Amino acid sequence: MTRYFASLFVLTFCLGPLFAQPVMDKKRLTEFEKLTGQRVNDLQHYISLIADKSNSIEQREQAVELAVSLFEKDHLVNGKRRSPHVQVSRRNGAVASVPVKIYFKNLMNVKFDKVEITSYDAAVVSEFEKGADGDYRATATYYQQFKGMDNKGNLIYGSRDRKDIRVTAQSAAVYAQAGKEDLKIFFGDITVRDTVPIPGF
Amino acid sequence: MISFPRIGTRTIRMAMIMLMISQLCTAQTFFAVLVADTKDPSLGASCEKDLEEMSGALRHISKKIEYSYQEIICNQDKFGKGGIQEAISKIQSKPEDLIFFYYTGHGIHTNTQKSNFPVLYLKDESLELETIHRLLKEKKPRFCLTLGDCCNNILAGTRSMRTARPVVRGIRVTEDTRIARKLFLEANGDLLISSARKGEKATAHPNEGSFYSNTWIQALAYAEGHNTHVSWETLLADAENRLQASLKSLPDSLKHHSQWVSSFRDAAAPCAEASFTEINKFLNVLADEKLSFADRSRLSKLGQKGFFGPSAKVNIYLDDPETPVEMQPIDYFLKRVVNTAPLIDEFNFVERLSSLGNGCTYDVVTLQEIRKTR
Repeated sequence: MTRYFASLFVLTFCLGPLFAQPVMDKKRLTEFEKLTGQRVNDLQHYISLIADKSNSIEQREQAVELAVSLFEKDHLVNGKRRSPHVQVSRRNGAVASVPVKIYFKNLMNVKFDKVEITSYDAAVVSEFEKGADGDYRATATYYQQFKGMDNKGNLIYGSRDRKDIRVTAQSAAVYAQAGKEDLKIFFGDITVRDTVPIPGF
Repeated sequence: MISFPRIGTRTIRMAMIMLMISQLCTAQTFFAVLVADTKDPSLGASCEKDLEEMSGALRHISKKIEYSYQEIICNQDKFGKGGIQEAISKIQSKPEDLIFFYYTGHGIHTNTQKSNFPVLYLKDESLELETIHRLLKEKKPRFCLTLGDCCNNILAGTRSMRTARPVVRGIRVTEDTRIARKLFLEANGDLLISSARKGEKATAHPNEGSFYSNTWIQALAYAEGHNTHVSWETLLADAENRLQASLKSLPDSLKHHSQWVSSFRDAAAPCAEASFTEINKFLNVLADEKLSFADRSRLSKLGQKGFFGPSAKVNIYLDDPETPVEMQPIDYFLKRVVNTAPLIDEFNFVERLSSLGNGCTYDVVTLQEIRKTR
C-alpha cells in the first residue's frame, strides 16, 4: 500500500510537470504572436528573394530551404501523405492550390523575364487560441503584390493578393534538457482571401 | 587584578552616535559634475534629455556600489567656464572617492591645439576637455572619468541633428552589483572619453538626446544585465559598435567615432577572441544589408568556425533573456541572418546566459534580435 502511494506521489509531483502542456499566460502568447509576425515577414522576404531573378541561384535556393523550414512537415491524413498547400491566383482569375515545395519551385521558374514580389501593407497576426488538442492556433494575414515584366521592364501581369496563413503553435520539448516544454511556431496552408488588380493595370 | 572603569548607558549611547557620525563622514563619495548646454536653441532639448538620462544612470551606479552620490549640475546660468571651475573647486576628494565629469553641448577643435580631444564651446570662454580631466585627476580620487559628447571639428556650432532614433530597447534593469563594482571600484586610475575624433562632428536627436551618450548608457546597462566578463575596454568598444550601428543609415561624412585613453590596464578576459564585444560586432556586421549576399555568406562561415561549436544552439528572446521564444541550430540561424539582413536592426548577445564548450567556442548562445520597424 505504502509503495502504491509512493509511486502515485512520484507520478503526480515529479513526472507530472515534465509532461504537462506548457502554461501560456497572455504575456507569453503575445510574445509568440510577435514572433509569428517576424516569421511572416521572413517568409515574405524569402518569396521576394526567390522570385527575383537578379539574385544568384545559391541565394534563391537558400531562400527556398529557409522558407520551406517555416512550414509543418508532411503528415498523414486518412492514410495519405499531405503537405501544406499554397493557393495562388491565376491570370484568368482562377485560384489554384499547390503543395508548398512545388509553390517555391514554381516561383524559381516563373516565365516572366523579371518578377517583383513585394508586400504592400504590414502583416497582421490574430490572437492565439487553444484548440482541443492542446495546440494554439492563429491566422496571419499578409499583403502581396506581384509584378511580372518583360525584358524591357514593361508590366505584363500584376495583382495584389491578401493571403491568410494558418499558424499552429505546437507544444514542443524545446528545452528538453531543462525538462521544460514550450511552443514552436509552424505555418500551415496559405489561402487567397482576395485578389485585386494593381491600380492602373 | 585588572579593574575596568564603569561605563554608563549615556556614554555608550554617545559613543554609538559618534561612531555613526564618523561612519557617515568617511562614507565614500561618487562626485558627478554634469555640464549641459540646455539653453542652446538647436541643442537645448537634446542636452536636457542627456542630462536627465546620465544623472539617472549615475545615481543607479552609485546606489549599486554603495557610494554617497554628490551631483553638481552646470546648466542654464551655470553653463560656462566659471560654473565648471566653481564645481571643480567644490570637490573635496578622498583617495577612495570617484569623480565623473560629463559634458554635452557644442565642441570645437582648433589647429593650434595639441590634444586630440575637443575644446568645450562654452557661453563665456572655451575650455579643453583634457584640461578639465587633468584638474580632476589632481584631486587624486580612486577613479576619475571624463566624458565629452560634442563635436571635435574646426567649425563651432554645427553639431548634426538627426531624426533617426537611437536604438534603446529591451534593457533589463538588474540588481546584480558585480559588474558595476568591477567597472567603478576595480579601475584605479583615470579614463578620458570623447564622442568624436579630431575633425569629426557628433550627432544628436532633437528630443532623444545625443547618439553617443545614448549608446554609452545602453552599453553600460547591457553590460550590467548581460555580461559575465567586462572591462572598460570591452564596454567602450561595445558602445562604439552600438554608435556605428545607430549611425549606419547616415552618409560617411556625418559618421563619428568615439575615442578614449586610460591610465590603467584592464585584466584580460578569458577567451578574449570570443568576447562579448567580438560576438556582438560579428552578428551586427553579418546583419548589415550594405554587404552583398556573397560577403555576408563568407563572413558567416568564418564566424561560425571562430565563435561557435559545430552543434551550437541559439536561444532567441524578444523581451526577457530568461524566456527565449525560439531555439535554432547555429548553421540554420546564421543562414537565416545572411538572408534576412534587411529586416534586422540589431543583435544583443547575452554572455551571462551563453556557455562556452571546448576551447573558446560557444555551445549555447542567448541573444536578442531586434527587428526594423516597418
